[in-house]
Amino acid sequence: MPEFNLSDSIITSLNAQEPWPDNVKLYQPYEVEQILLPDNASCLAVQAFLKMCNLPFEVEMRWNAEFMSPSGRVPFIKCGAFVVSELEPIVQFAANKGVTLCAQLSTEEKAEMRAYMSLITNVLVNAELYISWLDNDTYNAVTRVRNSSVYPWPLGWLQTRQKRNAVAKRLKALHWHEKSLDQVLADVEQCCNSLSQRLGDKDFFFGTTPTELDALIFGHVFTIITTRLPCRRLAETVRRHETLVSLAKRIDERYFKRP
Amino acid sequence: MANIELDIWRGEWGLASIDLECLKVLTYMKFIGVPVKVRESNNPFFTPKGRLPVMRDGRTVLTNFEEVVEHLKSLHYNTDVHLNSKEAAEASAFTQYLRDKLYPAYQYAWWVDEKNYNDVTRPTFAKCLRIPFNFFYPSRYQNAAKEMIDALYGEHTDLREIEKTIYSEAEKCLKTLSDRLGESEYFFGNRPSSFDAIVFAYLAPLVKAPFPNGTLSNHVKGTANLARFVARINQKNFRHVTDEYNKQNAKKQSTGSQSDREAANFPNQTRNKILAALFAAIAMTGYAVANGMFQELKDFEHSRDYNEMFENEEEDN
Repeated sequence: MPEFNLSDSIITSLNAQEPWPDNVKLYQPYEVEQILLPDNASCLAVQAFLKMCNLPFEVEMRWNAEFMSPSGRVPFIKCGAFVVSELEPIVQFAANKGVTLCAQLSTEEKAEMRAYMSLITNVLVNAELYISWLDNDTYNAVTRVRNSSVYPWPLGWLQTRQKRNAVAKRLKALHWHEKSLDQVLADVEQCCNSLSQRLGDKDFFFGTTPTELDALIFGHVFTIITTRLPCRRLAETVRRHETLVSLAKRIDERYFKRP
Repeated sequence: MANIELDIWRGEWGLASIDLECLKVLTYMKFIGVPVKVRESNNPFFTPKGRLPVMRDGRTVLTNFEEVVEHLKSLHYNTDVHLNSKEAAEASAFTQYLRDKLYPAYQYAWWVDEKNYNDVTRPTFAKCLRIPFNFFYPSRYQNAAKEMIDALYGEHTDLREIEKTIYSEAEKCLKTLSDRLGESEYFFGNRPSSFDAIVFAYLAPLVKAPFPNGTLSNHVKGTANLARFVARINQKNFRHVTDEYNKQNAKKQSTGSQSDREAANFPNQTRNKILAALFAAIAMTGYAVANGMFQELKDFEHSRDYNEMFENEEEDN
């Protein structure tokens, strides 16, 4: 235990001494030909978070972004000497530099926020993975084509199969593999219900300023409703929850529209 | 009137059941006060999904906590009536949060950590199961737990790294829970809800099970309001179980002399000795026969008769 805290606190203190640099780059796979539904959602969520914090960054697209990433998952940012991947560590990283969106939340609200973020990671992310990789129509028409588009032929086929097996194994361990498509969509429906109940008719989840929860929801909801898949039911399920859709549109207007 | 039966794993160390899912269902039923016949079947072999708990109500057979809650709701037994829709949404979010952060740590502490598994988990389950089941069920559960940890944290190759990450996530989760509970009696007001049953099911085994590697247990015990939460529910709903356990413990400690304790642990000592001696005798006799030692004796007997025959003949001549 002491070992862990010591190295962590060294990194934290090194981190806090430098302000946010100007040349921060966010790496993700190619948006038009390669990126898949779950990765796109994560990348959008991180972009939204950084924009909400007013932290400048540039998007760099690489075909091998997921292999460059320290944890194997996109997106990741390169910030000075540090490489940080995935939303939660990036939020922590920004907090170490003194930039945070949830300063005005009480401890109970922060606890609630973390719980809702877990809800999204557990339900929406797994549902996206399920639909992209285990639903045969989507897999054959979209995922396989997009994933292997960046490799020469035999390698693309092998790579995609390997990734599919890895995703299947992960979903099996989380007991999502044996669910039918209907059950997955029912879970998504329940998740969206919980979220829209909590949001009510407010602008953002916690008051009038957005937090990382809003960024995460924006990433997933926006991606789901704007991606065209053979299986339309996921988009329809999410679109039915108008409060979430309008939240996504609001964040898009405010932070992503070029003036 | 519904005739509800529940098959569960038996309890140990003052808990009503050693299994997480069984404890969830049991605690929930205790909260609502539904009349249920509890059977410690300890045998997942004959269950539909291969795991306990199994709740039977007439024709319906249900195997997990969510299904049981739904079913009991349809029978108008419900603890969550006092939750408004916002609180219900929060409860479901927190349940997912526990499943995301605390469940891997729970499984790790029970099944993947080698010392804990060998010293505590496997003997406990082996005591419940009969031969031949006690050979494969514990290892099957261990493999399932290892696969889950691998799927979630597979990119780290060092087990100690994974352990550190898992436990730190779990500790953050426990802190969040503790913040949410604050000083109130239950998580949502003054009445227990299904979420309280879930939290109790996660925390109680961690508090009671005597793990050698008790990082997570120590953290739970160190969080004052969570420890009080567990103790309170134990007092209110599981008093007979804790009382029985304490009585048993006291009895074991009061038999002070060595021979008495040995007698308590090995009640059939004399019988075992006789059986062992008999078994040894049979084994040795069998070996002797197999080696032909009796044959030699027989030959000796025969040879005497043979000589006698010839003696007579010689005399004739």
